[in-house]
Amino acid sequence: MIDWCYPLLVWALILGASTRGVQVLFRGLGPRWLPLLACAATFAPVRGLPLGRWLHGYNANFSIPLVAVLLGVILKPWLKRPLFNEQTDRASCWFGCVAGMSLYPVALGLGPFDLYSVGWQWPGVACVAAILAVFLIWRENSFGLVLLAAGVAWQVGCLESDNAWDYLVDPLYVALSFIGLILLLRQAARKQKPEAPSSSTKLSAAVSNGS
Amino acid sequence: MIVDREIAVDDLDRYLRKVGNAVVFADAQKRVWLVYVTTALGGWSGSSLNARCSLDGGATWQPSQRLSLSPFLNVSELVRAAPVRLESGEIGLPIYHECVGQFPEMLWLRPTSDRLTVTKTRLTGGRTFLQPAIVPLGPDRAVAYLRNVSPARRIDYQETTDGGFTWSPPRHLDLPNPNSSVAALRLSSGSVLIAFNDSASSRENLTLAVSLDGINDWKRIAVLDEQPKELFAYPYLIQATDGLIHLAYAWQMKKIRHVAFNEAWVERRLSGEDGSAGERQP
Repeated sequence: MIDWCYPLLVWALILGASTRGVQVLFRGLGPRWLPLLACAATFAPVRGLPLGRWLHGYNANFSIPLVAVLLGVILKPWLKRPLFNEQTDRASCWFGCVAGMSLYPVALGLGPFDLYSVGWQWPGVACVAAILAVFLIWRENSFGLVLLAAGVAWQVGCLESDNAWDYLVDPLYVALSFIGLILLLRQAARKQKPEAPSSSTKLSAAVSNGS
Repeated sequence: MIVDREIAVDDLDRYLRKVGNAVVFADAQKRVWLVYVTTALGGWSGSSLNARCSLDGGATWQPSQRLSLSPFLNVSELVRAAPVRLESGEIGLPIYHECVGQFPEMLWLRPTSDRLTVTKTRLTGGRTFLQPAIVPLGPDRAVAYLRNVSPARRIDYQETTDGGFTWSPPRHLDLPNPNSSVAALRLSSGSVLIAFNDSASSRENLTLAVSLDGINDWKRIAVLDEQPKELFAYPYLIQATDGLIHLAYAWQMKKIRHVAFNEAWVERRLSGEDGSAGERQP
């Protein structure tokens, strides 16, 4: 049952976060509850199936870090401070980029060894992620809790897949991580070289903070 | 009807565009399994694999199960060749990936009640080989024959000596390959029978050849079909429990031709005693 609900909920978050992104790009277009309405649209029936189940045909295995990123974007207008601080955002972006760059070229045929198959083995990928999670929690970085949640989700079987990699990364999360990392690095470079903020800097900061 | 688009949409509870390539096999507990591909987006290279089980010999079927095999939106895993039953009770199913990279893999299927758990092993990476046909030669030894999409125009093969966990680098067989699929089968004599297009440039013929060790000294024993500008492709070989060998292939891309023969006929063709073709049931 949970592997039926989970992708539907993630597609709801994707529609909500996309709406929020459009609002940010167009400087607050529409009411702040519009992303929630977009989330609800996922459950609207289309020819006998909820819209989210149609989208489910394109991808059913969304990672837990992606859920964290989407929640941060959608909840931003309702929270006094961001769900995740800059340190957590940075860890999330680096993790997505490194994991994606390690996994996808190999999974698409680079070399004779398939790194994805390690995700079915124990301790394998899950063990590495658990060690990283403990390290990050010790360093008071909330991304460690996200990785811990991914481990719990893997044990519960939230996804259609039982491969540990799918709980840690997915193509959308990796793409967002690359965009986020570029924006964070640009932001850091501009902090080192103080100047009057341009409109593009404000937009970059807004997107990276999910506002 | 075992599965069509509507049944697959209903079972898998999602949008699907097409249903295609299917392989049927039985496990040690006599459960019958159907592994088939579906696509939601793009062509066949966007395929995902699904499985369906029958507990009563094919009379009724359990709901389909989606197999998650790729981290990239779980697309581009396809099936074509016959599976291999392993001593462990697992099924070794040759599959291949053809999005960005083109490479052969072996899927390890563990049947439990009416579900499958899966892992997979890559035979080789790159962008050159597709549609492996795996033939067991001993308890831990097997050979995989590969469709070659490169300009080399040769059938390639890989060997394993540890039950499929690791495979040797691909090497050329002394048989041509016009970028087309092959089928192979181990005979009770230990020889290997292969069905292939005996040309480096076209699929205008379908030929049978036999090798004592499955690698060297291939002897052509019959040309089953040969017509200029026609296509004879996608052979599929199995041997029934009564010993009869069944070959099905796409005939001029209009029909499926079924050819049945026995090992005695293969031996006669090898020794040159029999000049006639096998029994044909188009």
